[in-house]
Amino acid sequence: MSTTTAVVRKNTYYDSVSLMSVSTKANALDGVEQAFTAMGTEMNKGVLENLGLLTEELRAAESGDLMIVLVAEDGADTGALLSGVEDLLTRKAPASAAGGEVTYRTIASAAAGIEGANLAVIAVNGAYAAREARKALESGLHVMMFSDNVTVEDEIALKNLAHSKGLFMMGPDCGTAIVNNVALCFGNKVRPGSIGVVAASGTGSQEVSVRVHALGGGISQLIGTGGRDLSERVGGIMMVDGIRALAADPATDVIVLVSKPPAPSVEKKVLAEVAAAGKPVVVWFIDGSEEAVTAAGGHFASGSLQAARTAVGLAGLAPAAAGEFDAEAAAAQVAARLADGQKYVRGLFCGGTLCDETMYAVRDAGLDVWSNIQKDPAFRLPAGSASRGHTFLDFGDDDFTNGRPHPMIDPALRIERIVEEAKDPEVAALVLDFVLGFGSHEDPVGTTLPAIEEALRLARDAGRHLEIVAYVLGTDLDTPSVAAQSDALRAAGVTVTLSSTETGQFARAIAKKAQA
Amino acid sequence: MEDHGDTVTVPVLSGDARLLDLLEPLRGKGSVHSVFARVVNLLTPDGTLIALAARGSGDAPRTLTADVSDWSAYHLSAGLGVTFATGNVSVDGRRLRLATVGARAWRPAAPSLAAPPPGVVAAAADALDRICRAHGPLGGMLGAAPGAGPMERAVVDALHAGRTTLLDAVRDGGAAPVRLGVLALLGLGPGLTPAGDDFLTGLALVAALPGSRLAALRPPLREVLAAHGRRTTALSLATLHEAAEGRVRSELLALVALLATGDPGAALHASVRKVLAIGHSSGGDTLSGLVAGLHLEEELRGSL
Repeated sequence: MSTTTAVVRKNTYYDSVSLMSVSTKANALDGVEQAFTAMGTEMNKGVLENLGLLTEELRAAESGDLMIVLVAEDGADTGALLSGVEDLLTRKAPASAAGGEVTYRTIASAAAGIEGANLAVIAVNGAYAAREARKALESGLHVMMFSDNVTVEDEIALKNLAHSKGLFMMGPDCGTAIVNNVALCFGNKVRPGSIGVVAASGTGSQEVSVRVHALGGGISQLIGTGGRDLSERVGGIMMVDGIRALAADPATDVIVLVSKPPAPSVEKKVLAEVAAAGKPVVVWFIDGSEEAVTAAGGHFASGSLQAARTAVGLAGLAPAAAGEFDAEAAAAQVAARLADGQKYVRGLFCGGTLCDETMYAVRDAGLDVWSNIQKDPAFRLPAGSASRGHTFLDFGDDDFTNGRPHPMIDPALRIERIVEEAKDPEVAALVLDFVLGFGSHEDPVGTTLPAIEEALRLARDAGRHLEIVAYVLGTDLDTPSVAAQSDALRAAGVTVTLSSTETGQFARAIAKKAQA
Repeated sequence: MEDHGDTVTVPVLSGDARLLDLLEPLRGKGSVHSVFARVVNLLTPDGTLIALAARGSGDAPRTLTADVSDWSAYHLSAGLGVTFATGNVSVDGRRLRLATVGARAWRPAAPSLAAPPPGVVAAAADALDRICRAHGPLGGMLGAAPGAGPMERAVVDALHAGRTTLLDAVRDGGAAPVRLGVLALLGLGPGLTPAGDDFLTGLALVAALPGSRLAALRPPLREVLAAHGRRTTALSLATLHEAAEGRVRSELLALVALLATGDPGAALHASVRKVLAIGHSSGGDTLSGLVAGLHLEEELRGSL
């Protein structure tokens, strides 16, 4: 026969986060038949009365009192169970009615205060980030370090420490990860699945994950490494650990690697892991070459869309059918509307890899491209400089973010630039990206639309057609959804492309025809 | 934060204008009512419950937002004495003084739903409902969470029954049935602001909008709050008193203002998300009340 125990704590306040989660956790304790924690209001007491559980003590409870009701199984130690429930209550610090969150002042207190925690996300000033990451690793936590401006010496030391402990050290400057279906920082909401990603490029990995989702596939894990991981000095420590982890993961059938081309010695090391993975590995080394990848048994991808399509196919899924985009025909229609002198494409990007993919597409057509992230110093354009010819700016690069939030969070600088570029009579087209996801601006299109409308008005008043091309990186599961953001752009007269690769193809076709 | 000798003076960044006006001439002793990480509730000398929120909490009725990240450094506890004098609030024995001089006055203004043509309000309510059901937390007005125990399920059943009773009563328009409907929800739910009260807050807000067809809800609601206030928590009672006057948290007002435009568009998701972030389930439960109120508004418009 079960035993009912009731306790009333006078004038004790917990918000509903604590009380409901405590009830749920208490119900899962061995020996508990049912448990309930609630404020002592008349209606809550009425519910207990209907269930035959209202004791005299509970009847005397008032609205400001906390009731704990415990029905224990026959033979259970009710004293110990009640202690267990009270322990759950005291473990939860009283929280605010406004937010419900608890602020931990140190990594160690957070690690101790959150049962089962095994990963720390570190996003503090770079000067302190390494110290905090070391504490986290020493507390047995994997680390995702969003912070940048961490020295390469610290990065190497942290990655070696993590490797020695069997932990991940993702970052520094790691903006995206998906761990056990939970997207971190700039990650998108995608379907769980059998494709694992290891990436040294934040928006590159986002693009691959959303394309996989759009093609009907899903993501098992997305492991970020930080942009410097494949440099000669760091040596790909995290990339190698990531490949090995996914190779050993039974939920991962196909692995995708995303990175700028590694340093030669590191490429050799990474491709050795590809050969030894025992699973198909798709390699998208942005602007990289095919030969070495193929020799190692990897599947080379020349762009994000091809990487996603190949991975989905290797996972045994038939990629959802999509009509091929005829960039040349679309660009011909644009070119027909341009005035004399309109000959250049200007790309204003929040995502570095999205900028890369479009910029390289235009460059590969034999055209000169200028950029703040150009590898060729002769065509490098410092932040703050006026555009020249075909210009592609990555507003997420350090030059633009020094002392400012990333443009995926605060797009103000790019918004100003949209209007500036529209005043230039040589500009034929503006190319923009909008990156959705958990850490991104809550309505990137909405906040940019006034500038887009102003740009179009300026061109119209000057008797010019200005083509604005935009790509929205996101999924139907993101909030806001990719469809809602794309619809808002189309309604404003913007041409919306459906992938980063397609954006590059369209920009290249426009650039060729406008300059012809 | 300035440190003058032993006492730390924390500036108040913004505050409910009505509360700032009340504090200016207020003299006397109150007390700390309850302490949370980012909100501390105080009782003024006349027993009014007010809130001190940490920065970034968003403006709300009877609330001062102070320039602190949280209150943990001040070691506050329920029962400590509080001195009110010349717009300043000092917690006895904790060398903490809050200065309201220079605080931005927040004046909540409830928008009118008169502008949107017939059908638009219902469409807005449908959109709101869809988002709320897709993203709102379970355990209250949106139904029981998976694995909920028998007691939680009993609360959810009672919430459903109370909702039906109240909405039927508002449709019929009789004050006595409405009072019974309000009493069926008041104080129902485990937390500090019970789910039934959150639902009433959303419904009361619609009733308080200029030109609302639900205006007849307000007198019996006020009567119940006056006569049966002890049936719920002090914080929830204060929230309901204010909601009956159309005074609710800024996130909720912003959402209603967006709906009142008749074309919330892509901004709706972001606005709803801010409301859903209030408490654990409070935001979702309040939105349930708002959705029910908007549907009733449309229904009652059509019956005129």
